[in-house]
Amino acid sequence: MKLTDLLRPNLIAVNVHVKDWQEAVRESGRLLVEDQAVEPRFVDAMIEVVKEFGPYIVLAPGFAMPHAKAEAGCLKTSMSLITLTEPVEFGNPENDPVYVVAALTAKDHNEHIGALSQLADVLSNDTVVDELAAANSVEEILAIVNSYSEEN
Amino acid sequence: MIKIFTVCPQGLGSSMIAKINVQKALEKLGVDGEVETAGVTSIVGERFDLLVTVEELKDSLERVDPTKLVFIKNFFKRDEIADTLEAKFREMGLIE
Repeated sequence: MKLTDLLRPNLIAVNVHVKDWQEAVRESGRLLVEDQAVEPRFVDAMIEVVKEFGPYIVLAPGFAMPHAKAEAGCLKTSMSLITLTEPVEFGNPENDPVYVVAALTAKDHNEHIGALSQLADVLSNDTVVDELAAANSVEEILAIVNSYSEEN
Repeated sequence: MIKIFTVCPQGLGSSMIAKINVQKALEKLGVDGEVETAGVTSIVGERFDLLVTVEELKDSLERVDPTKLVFIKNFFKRDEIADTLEAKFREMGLIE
């Protein structure tokens, strides 16, 4: 699977208003629920993971990737991505504040490895999170993702 | 051949990204190794030479031999991961 197989246009939203990290996770999760990629309980599970294990999901400066186990209600392997108008703090001293949130749900460990490999390529670039945060449309987000995927 | 696990709470998202970057680091450093992902609970009972994870999970891994733990700050920073592993491999005598 390619990254854009997971990150479909209806799973992307730009300039979303949220007041805190929980709302940011809920908004990224809502897109997955509306797409029937996950059951509603999956969104609660993503929040529980952060509460239980701490803000390790802030994987890179400005970028958080909430996720939960397949058993928490994954229906199809997918990723949503939202950009925030005002950044939020997750409590990660290295990588806060967060302005791009990409929620991941995967049915098994192997299906999404190609897509995550591409994501790793995209996010290994220092400026890509800023570029994503500055995007004003779904098309711009996909164009940025594709441009960095092709380079690698 | 060394065996490395990348660990995150669930062994699903972040550890998968870490695995990809650790594999790239191994290629770059010319070290022969096998990389697998695990969650903090599923790692129990596994055999490995190194375990790569983030500082936040230190407390959950207190039963692991501390000399086998490698902490990284950012799962996406290939350079940081490669530098951290290079120092560890040197310490282990795997590279000169």
